[in-house]
Amino acid sequence: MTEGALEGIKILDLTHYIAGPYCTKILADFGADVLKVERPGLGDSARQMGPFYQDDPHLEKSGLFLFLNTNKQSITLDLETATGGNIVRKLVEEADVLVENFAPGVMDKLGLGYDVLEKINPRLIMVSISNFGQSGPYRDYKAEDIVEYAMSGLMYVIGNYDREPVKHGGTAAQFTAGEVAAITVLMALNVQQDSGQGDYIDVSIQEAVTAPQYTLLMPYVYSGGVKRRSLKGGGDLTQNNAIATKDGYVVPSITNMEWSLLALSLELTEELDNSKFDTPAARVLNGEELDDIIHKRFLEKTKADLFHETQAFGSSFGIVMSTEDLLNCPQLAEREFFPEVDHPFTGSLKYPGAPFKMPEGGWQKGRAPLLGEHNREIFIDRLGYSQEDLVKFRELGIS
Amino acid sequence: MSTLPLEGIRVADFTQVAQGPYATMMLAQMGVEVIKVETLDRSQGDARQAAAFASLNSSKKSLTLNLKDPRGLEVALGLVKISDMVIENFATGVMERLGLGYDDLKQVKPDIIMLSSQLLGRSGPLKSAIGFWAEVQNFSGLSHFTGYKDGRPGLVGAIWADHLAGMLVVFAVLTALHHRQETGEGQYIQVSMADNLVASIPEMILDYSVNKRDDGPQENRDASMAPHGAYRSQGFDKWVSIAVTNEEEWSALCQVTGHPEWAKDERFADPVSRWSNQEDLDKLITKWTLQHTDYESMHILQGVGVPAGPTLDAEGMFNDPHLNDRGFYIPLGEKEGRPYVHVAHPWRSSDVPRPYYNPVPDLGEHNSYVLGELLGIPEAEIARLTEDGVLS
Repeated sequence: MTEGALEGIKILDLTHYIAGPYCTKILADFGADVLKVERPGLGDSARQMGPFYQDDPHLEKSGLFLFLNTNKQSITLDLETATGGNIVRKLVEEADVLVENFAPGVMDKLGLGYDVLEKINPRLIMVSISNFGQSGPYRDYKAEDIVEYAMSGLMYVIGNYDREPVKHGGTAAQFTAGEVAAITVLMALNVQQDSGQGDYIDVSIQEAVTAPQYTLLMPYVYSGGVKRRSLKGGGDLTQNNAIATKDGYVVPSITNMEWSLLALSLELTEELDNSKFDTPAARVLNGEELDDIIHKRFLEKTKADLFHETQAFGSSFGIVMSTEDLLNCPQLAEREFFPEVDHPFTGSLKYPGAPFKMPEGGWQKGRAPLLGEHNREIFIDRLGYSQEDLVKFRELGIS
Repeated sequence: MSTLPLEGIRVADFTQVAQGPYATMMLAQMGVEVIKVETLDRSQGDARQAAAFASLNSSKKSLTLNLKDPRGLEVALGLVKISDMVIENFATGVMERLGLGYDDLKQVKPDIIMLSSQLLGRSGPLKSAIGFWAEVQNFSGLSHFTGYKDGRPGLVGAIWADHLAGMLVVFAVLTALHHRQETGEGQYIQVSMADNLVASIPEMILDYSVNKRDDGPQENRDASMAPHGAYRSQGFDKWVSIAVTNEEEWSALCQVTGHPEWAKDERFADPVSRWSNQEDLDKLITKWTLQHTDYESMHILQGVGVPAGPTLDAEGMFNDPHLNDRGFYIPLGEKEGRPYVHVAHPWRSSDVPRPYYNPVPDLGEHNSYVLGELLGIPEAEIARLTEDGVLS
């Protein structure tokens, strides 16, 4: 395998859960040398989160952890002990980048604040990811993904008008912040390489999700308009609601499609050639009648039929893909998007793979480390401790 | 330090709509000189009036060019020759047809970094698929998991896929730039918007891949936390989101809401019972949240360490005290009589100066800068190109 593009960049990873580990994962997947520091015993909290391989809640079998920590090394260290703090400060001497996602103030309390670390290594780039950033009135507030979604404005517009707003499934706010943090690492590295200057970067998960919401914000800034969840009525076809097919759901997209072409592609020319449906307004007014015709036809077709037939007419219906669909999707298969990654506790599993194709210095296929797998290598080979020291570390709960 | 972090790097920007422009705008604000190649060919004049355009193209330079004219193509290749990166998101094949495929660009600039981003990628049976963000959100599995338990999937809300993919584009070109600095090699990067979105729901993918489990729309439920949801608050269509992650938070919530009896109720006595009885629990919590505004509930609950926050609408986002305290909205004065505000990057940096925020350029505003100053084309020739419609 060719070396990754980021080979040689040394990242000290004090992250846990999702946002921080995703940041260091994508850097590690492209070759960066990521050393993950986990708490002794339980390790990263993601090790205790599902889905677990065969529903066995084992520290080495969390699918979430395995995905988020590919290509990293793991050591165990209690940062609250004096020895733990000293070892981290020693590792900082050689690091290009440190990423952490503790609550604001925790690093300072551990004696690992940027003001301390930059004196040890003036080139250091330190990236802190937190729920609301390191400043402002909500700095110390707690959040879960749903709170980040709520406070980013995105959640408010998802769902039905008469019901509660819903967030996207999954934990996308965390992934977005991880992506943002990885960008800031590369940006700051560009400066570090040019001038040797370090940087402290404060990434807010709330802002990571809010920053792209200009389609919601700008109408308010310009004209006071507030987008809300869609009203019922007008019919599924005109409202872009998911419609059931023979094997799942499809979301029609007719805004950029000529009505006559849609009728043709659905083989409904006769049924739809009706003054009740000949203008966009008429289609909304007679939405339910229109739906009766459309629903019937959709139920005769598969999702894939409808996708391909509308593509042929220059438009696109969205297939609502389930995980089964995704794992069996010919498009993703031909792009080798789900590589099999081997692991001592789970065997070979299919993970989402390279997020983009890069021929030179591209994506590396490696597994997540076992808890403390690299203790020996780091403590003894790199830092010069002895095997007996390792025993002491274990007995004292340091590692 | 006076320079921006990515100063000295130039991008020839052939992107349009949302994803590509979002990526190149982020780069521009980090100091990259982004030269947006536009055309008068399509109805871009009108699209440019939209708020969305201004929000996606600030801090860039604008060059108008008719790429179907051989002299327009020559100018474009001249621009590539002095650029570090080319970014485009036309449908698969368009750049090649214009004579701007990677092989053509490599001829004039061997170490060019080119990035193409398409809906479903440039390879595979669906490489030519067309569509917009909603199609990608559906295709990637995200909408399958978004919706009410008793309803249909496929709720997409607002543009999302484009921005997440736009961020990935920035990550990809900066990774390639690092590689070029180390090795001198350029390369051709291919992004699929769908791939990136699939990678953001690995929990779901792995649950199916290892346990054959797929529970469909998640509503606002968490796999183990309860209460976990959006609760109706005082006022019209106001909601507060609450997530209780452990026993300490649960007992704090019961105390601060004045309902210590909830903690003693056997339906809610431990996390597993709470999760199983969350519908009953949600009804009780709603009785409390209805007596408070969304912000009041947040402050009361956060005051005792319970994660909670208002489900903000556009007005709420714009006026949120915290975002404003962090300087998230940057006033840029007025443009064409309208107030113009820009959203900051979702990060703050201590040593590197504040990113560069500049209003959106006028169409072709930088034609003479690019042709004259950068490419050294004599004024008379520029005038001729203008007259002949090459710069349109």
